[in-house]
Amino acid sequence: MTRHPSRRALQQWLDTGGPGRVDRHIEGCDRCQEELDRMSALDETTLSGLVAVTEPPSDLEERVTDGVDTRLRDEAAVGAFADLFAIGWDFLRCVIDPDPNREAARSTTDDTAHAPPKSADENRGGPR
Amino acid sequence: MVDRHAAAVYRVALSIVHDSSLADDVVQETMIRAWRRSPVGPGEEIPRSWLLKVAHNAAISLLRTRREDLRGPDTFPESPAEIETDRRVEGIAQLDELWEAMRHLDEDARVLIALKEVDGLSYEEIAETLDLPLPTIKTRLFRARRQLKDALKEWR
Repeated sequence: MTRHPSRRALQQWLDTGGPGRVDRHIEGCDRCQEELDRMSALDETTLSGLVAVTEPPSDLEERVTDGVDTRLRDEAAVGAFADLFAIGWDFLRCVIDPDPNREAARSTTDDTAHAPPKSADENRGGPR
Repeated sequence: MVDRHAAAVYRVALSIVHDSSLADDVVQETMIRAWRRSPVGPGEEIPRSWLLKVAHNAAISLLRTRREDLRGPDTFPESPAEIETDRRVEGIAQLDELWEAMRHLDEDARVLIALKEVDGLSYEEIAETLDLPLPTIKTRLFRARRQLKDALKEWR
């Protein structure tokens, strides 16, 4: 569409969203967009009413600041607890379920420290 | 950041979640996300459109997680829980009508009206906030205004 739609056609578009050719024209036409901006503008009473019905509570900032502080503190506490738990868990694991390799290594060291030297044949026999 | 942007973030949140206490939660979540993932360096001003985009996403995300618990359109709050404006008796009815009209708009329309008509964002800022092309923002806003006017006629 090369010609601009009439005011009536623009009003019809506002009312119904159609027809498609007007819709396509408006998408690419700054002049018609400006005209529609004027035609659809809300009156002052409605605008001030909108501000009133969406007005935040007067203590919003205070509540948000407190809420954010509390949440960050809680998250930090949970993080610290998780770290402590991880350290405790590692410690318990060492006590209850020691590393078998480390245990084997220790017994080997003990054996070599106290047992008489093995003969060459015994050494070739491998683990029993 | 909270004192400069909390009110605008609250309005975007309220236009999506319809509930003042949920809107509070969204404001908190937005501020935490902004604090953690700020696109600018310390001491620099966070762009309003970026913050409102975070708020928009946070509100939608909250709404999705609570969708099952949320009340249907017929049982939305009769009015915002804590409107603390100086209401004269004759003003109350008008504000109630306006709130009724607003809550019968679709979500996109409410958000557009809150961003443009209440928070006063430019079309470019709204396009950035909602990740939509500029002409789409404009045409949707014009239609949203029209819907609001129609709804107001219906409720008056």
